Amino acid sequence: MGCTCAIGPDISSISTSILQPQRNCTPVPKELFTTKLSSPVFSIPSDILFSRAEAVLDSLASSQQLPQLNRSLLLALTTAGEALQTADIDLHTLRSKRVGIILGTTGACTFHNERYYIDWKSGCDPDPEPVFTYLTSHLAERLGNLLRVHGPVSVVTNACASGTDAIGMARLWLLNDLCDLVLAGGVDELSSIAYHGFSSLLLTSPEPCRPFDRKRKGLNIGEGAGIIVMEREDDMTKEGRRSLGWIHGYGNAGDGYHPIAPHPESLGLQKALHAALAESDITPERVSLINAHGTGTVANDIAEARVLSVMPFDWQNCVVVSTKGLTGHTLGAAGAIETILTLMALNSATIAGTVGCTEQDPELSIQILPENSTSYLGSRFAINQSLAFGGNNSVLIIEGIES
Amino acid sequence: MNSWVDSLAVVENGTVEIPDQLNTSLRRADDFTRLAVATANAAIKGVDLSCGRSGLILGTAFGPMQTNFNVLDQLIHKHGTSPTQFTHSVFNTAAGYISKLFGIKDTVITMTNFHFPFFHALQHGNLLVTKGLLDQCLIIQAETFSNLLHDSRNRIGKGTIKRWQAGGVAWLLTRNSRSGWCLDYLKVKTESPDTIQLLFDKQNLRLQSTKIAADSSPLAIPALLTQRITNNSQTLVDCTINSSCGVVRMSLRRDKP
Repeated sequence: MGCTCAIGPDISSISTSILQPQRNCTPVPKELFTTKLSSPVFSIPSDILFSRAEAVLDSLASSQQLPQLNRSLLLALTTAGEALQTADIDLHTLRSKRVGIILGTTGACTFHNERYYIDWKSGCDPDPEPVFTYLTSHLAERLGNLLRVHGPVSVVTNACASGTDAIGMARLWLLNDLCDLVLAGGVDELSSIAYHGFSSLLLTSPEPCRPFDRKRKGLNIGEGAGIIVMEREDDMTKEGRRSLGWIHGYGNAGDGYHPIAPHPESLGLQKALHAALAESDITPERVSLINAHGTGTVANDIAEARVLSVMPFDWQNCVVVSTKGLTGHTLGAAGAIETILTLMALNSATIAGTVGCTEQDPELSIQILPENSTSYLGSRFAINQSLAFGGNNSVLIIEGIES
Repeated sequence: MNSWVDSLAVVENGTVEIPDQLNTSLRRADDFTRLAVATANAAIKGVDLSCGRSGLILGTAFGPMQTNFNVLDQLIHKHGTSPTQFTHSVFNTAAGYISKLFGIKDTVITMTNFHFPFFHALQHGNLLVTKGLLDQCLIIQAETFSNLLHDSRNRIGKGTIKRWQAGGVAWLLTRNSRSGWCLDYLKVKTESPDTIQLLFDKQNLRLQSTKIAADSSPLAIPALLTQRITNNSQTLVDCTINSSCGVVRMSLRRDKP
């Protein structure tokens, strides 16, 4: 697995930082875009991103130059490179397989070159290079080109559940033999449209976010990428490679209630949870960790807690956290990054508390593991759940390896 | 188990029909959402999707592109971002409307592919139905394109290029046939060229032994195929779609009454 986010540029640095968390939450970097708004963001230093991407391009012996790749592609490339390295799969082995690529995103599928748009609209007849870049920047297709692999490709644009959905759909591809291996996950860069859009909906916080906290004021936008290498277990075993975990079940259900607001009783989330658990054959009592969507908005956190409270989890032995206090809301990448953070916690049998939650909202009907605490995880099973615009709800049932 | 294509529909932008009972719900919707809803309505034809496990897979190449530019306009001119415009610039908002208006409460997914968006959506929906995860699944492709895209095609193509027409295509897949076509075989193979052939690339649809050329629009082949199948009196349809971006092979068998 590979991961790049505000916590750290790779899995190794993330695993070190996450137990002694420090929030890398800043005003919007001017190099990305300018704004008069003050909601802080969780960004990735560009120099680190560029140098890591260059190293991956060199290893691919690619003729591509960095400026030809947009920020989302750089995130995807560095993270996919790390995932393949972690999985101990060299390029020769990779290219001998049918390789599927399915990535979630919200912004990477749009044309958002402001300079070109301004010039075009004013009739300046600008160089169409940005249009070429857009048309050749489909995340999954371009990553496949760079890696020189063949197989099914898709980008999931299910808003904030995209990363979770991409992993769930990858599982279906493998179970139905559409491919031998899948690079699945999510990618999103910091976007001016998303930043201002969420602000217009009064969903952003003027300070670092506080998921589930009584004083929470909203979310912070973040950027990042999370990609896992998924295979059928038998294939891995034959090649002498070990798994870092399993995806046992996936559920996706719509609220069918409102274009953006969640159902007050989150009926879709309930359905998705039941579907994922049923598919996984894991009973709720065996789940030791729930990585909630936990954005830090008043509505989301209350609705999620309400649903979880009526599910038959063993609340003596099951912990609920949100990791968005450390990553921000990385939109299309969130589900994938959070799946990876969940798996890392399972594999170390330890989870750190929810950064930003010092005193939980008394209206919540479940207990949240607060900041500056850690908990031992008594089982290897966890849930990662994501809620999205359009009333989408997606859930993964994850198993870690014995630590 | 196979899935059955029980209903098919093509909607051209000029003929978008929204039933009166849906108009109120769509009063703030953008063109992309309205088109997607009209396409869904044309295919559903009164079928109650709130019964059983119903899903929706919406595939698109460009999504709500013009709405996205409307938001960009607001940012550039510092008019303040409209929450309504921003909401509708999110790719899966249209699917959210369809889910709400037609009672689809199980799997709802929006997928984006420049190449074969309809067939990628069909492939995933087919998996969900044939594996028993859904009883019925609505597959939609909707495209509204944008003036920037049209102008880019003209400028890059150095000539007058036929404008891609907005529209939608929808198929309703079910586990048990009512009176439709059995989807015996579907394989989608994408090989993406690292060029902009996408904008101009002619595509070919081969139906049985007949070869039909289509223009480069990502809607062209699904619309053409849907029309041909709807008017087809034969009981077996083998089709192959070729473009420089890959190949789709499909086999449909009509359910005998």
